[in-house]
Amino acid sequence: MTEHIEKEPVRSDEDHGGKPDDVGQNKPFENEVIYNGVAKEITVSKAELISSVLQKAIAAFGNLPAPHTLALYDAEGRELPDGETVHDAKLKKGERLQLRPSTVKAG
Amino acid sequence: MLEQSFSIFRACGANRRECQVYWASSWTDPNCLTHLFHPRHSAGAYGLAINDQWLGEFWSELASRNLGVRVQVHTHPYEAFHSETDDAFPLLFDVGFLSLVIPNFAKGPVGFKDAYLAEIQADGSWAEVPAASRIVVDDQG
Repeated sequence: MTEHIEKEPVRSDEDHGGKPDDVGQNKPFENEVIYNGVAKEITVSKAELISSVLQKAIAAFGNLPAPHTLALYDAEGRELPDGETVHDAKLKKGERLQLRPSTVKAG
Repeated sequence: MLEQSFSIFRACGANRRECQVYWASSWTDPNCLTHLFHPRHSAGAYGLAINDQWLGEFWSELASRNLGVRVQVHTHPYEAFHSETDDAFPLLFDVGFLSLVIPNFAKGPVGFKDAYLAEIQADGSWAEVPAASRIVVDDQG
């Protein structure tokens, strides 16, 4: 016989205090970005636009001379759209992002 | 590494398609090129494009192995030079990143004869530099 026990939901730190609507929504978190074999951490928030995250990632790697050629990709290889928020892009805390060119060609 | 690159160019390009490889080194010794990567790509006689999925996997591999790409090397059907496409769509846009172009689909002797080496400058432009001033080939090639 299987015993079914209803448990109270575990409350995280985010559940304590503050307004329910904004708790956790804009709390900054860390993500790792890799570029040419090097990893750097950047801090992002849920409401932040991907375009802002991209600027942070580029800045983390110093003075890259052609930043317009670069884009951010998630762990599944999906290019993150500039106009979406971190929340909309389903970016998770601790997720490793890639900063890389969207097109590599020669001719 | 140079000989291996020419072998790949000749086999993959089959004297009718361009081909590209990357030369990489460990971040613990960036100036010592030790690894060669042949990307998955589409190619024709006058151009090539790197497969995006491969690029994503490659980016992860570089990080997991503490490697960085220093030089991209590709072939041209005839004369070696840096085309507008080469200027605009390199693997990296880092200051000091090198792009080596090998003429005649790499049918010639292994080495830098008639090759063209370009380097990214601080303002993002490319400048031709003598191969011998940037790349030294040791006994292991």
